[in-house]
Amino acid sequence: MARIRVAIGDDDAGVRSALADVLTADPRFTVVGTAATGEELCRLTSRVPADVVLLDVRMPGGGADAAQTLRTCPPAPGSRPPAVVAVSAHTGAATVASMLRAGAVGYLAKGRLSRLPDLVARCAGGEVVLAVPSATEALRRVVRDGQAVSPAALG
Amino acid sequence: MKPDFVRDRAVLALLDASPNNVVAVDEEGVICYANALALDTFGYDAEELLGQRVELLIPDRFAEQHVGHRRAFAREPRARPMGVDLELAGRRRDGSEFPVEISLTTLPGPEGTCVIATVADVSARRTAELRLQVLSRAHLTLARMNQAIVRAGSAQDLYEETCRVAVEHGRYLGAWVAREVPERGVESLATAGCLDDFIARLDITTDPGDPRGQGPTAGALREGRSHFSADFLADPATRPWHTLAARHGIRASATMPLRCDGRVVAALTIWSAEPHVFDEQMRALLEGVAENVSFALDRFDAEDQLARVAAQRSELLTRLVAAQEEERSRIAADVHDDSVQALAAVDLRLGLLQRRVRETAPELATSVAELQDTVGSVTAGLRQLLFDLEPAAEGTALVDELREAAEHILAGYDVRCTVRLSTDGGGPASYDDPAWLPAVVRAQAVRVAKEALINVRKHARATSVTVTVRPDAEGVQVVVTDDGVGVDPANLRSARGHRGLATMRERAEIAGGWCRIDRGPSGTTLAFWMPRRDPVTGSAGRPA
Repeated sequence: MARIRVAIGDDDAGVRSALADVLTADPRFTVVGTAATGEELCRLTSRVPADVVLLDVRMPGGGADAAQTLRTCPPAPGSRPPAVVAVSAHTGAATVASMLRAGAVGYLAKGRLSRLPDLVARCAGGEVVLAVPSATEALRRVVRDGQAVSPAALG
Repeated sequence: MKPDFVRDRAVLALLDASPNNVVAVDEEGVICYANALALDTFGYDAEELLGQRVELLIPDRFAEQHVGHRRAFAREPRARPMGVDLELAGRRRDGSEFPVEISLTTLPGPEGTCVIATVADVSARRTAELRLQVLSRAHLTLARMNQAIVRAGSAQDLYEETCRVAVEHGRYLGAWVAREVPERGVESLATAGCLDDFIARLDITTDPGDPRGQGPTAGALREGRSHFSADFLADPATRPWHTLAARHGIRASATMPLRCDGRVVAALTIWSAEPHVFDEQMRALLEGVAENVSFALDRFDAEDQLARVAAQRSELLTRLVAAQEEERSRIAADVHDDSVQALAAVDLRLGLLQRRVRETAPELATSVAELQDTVGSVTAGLRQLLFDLEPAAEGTALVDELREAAEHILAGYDVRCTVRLSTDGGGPASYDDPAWLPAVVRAQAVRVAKEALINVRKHARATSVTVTVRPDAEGVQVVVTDDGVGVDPANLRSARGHRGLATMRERAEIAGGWCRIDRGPSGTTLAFWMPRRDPVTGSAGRPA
């Protein structure tokens, strides 16, 4: 079975390398590249095919904007737009809701990433994984505000 | 012809002794008797007067009419005052005139009817009447001016009203308020009456070396002197303007300085078409007006200063709150960048380590797991801190924000929390419009509510808590009710760790609202309200 290709975006070098090391050590994944800004990340995914993008919400050019761009800008030849999984220390319902609206299919909390590989694999498989306590509230708001996550956004 | 009554001693004595001037005239209009007083009043000797036509004693312009009146009276004689509505005047020997009132009686006799005229010199009374009129008008004008002073909303209002009242009620020709403009002379602030043309050509300067800088207005502005020109056209101080004034019918003027905070800020001038109207009493009255105007100017000044100070205070408070929020955001960013990121990396690597340990050194797995737990809970605490420090995302409704805050604060505690929106306060129809409150006020409202919830968690020992958000036309009210042990408000102030309530009240009041706590039958209710409009500047949050 083909390895899941993962691109990593985070402006903190320690987190970046830790994410890369954890995923590389897992035979299910190949890390295709890392980036420190949203721009770099988009350039990366337009060159190199990726199935999943780990996206830091607070990095420069990151967050909901980057998520939108990743979903809309043309992916690398021969691949589909990647599944966007947000990784963040900010887990307030408003932030989660905004990422959902931008098309993220995963939201993981920094500090609770010991099961990271499993969670990422599930997202790659089509599941929506919102591993934060505010997920319920975030989803409720998204639905209430009439901007339900569209099928296209979910990929 | 000597009238019959002259032969009657009694009548003669009566007439001679009368305190009034008595003149008797026969049917031809010839004076046949005049008492000593009349002779004295009119300035004639008996020989000069007797035998003359009575028209000698009245001004020429009335003579013809008088002849007619006499004839008419002769036809229908009856005792009456003469021509009540006529302006009657007597003429003395030297040609001078004086106002009179005349009563007529007839005395028929065998040789014809005599008309006896009692002539009263009413000059004194006329003067007094005129004076009374003038004073009444002046007092009325003064009263109106004081009304204007009380009602004026600003210095400009005041100047305009004062001029208008002077002209409309005082019936002066014109009124003018002017102030000095450095380097440019004198500038009009308000005028009334028909003298705009005159004022436009005044060309006054405040330069004391220039003759046009030594007039009443310049004196008032420069030295704070009042000047009353009883006869404008003869007053040397107003010489440069005599010709101009004459053209406009100005005969008198009154100029008074207007002060604010002790300094002369303007000069009020009133012009009259009649000379000598500004006598001592009028001067005193007018200076009183000037003082009242100055008093009002002081009041406007004080009000202005108060408003400025209040606006400053409001601005400072806004900036203080903004600075606090900025500070928090900065701390949050530091915490995030330094601590949280580092711990996230540690957490990830521990996960990796755990996988390897399970394969190669299973006896260490428990220790690694404990490490992971520690890191996890520390990070959770930091995430909570971040949430507390950072302001909510823009566009978040207050109810949503409070619901999330309540979940965080009460997580892990056995307390049921409900956060709801109440629309019975008449607030906006749209569901808790996030833009209803200015951002600064919202931030404070959230902090107060969070503090209240933390208090419930710490002290109330409650099983349920309800947070009700009730927007109304002017702002928003938040009520936090719990069913716990209740709190003694008195204790709240002094006990350590409880100064939260004082802070909450401060926050509410800084925003222009209020906060109070009530101990109910079972539990505590904390209610606070914040206005959506800044109490001083009036700026409000804008509804979508």
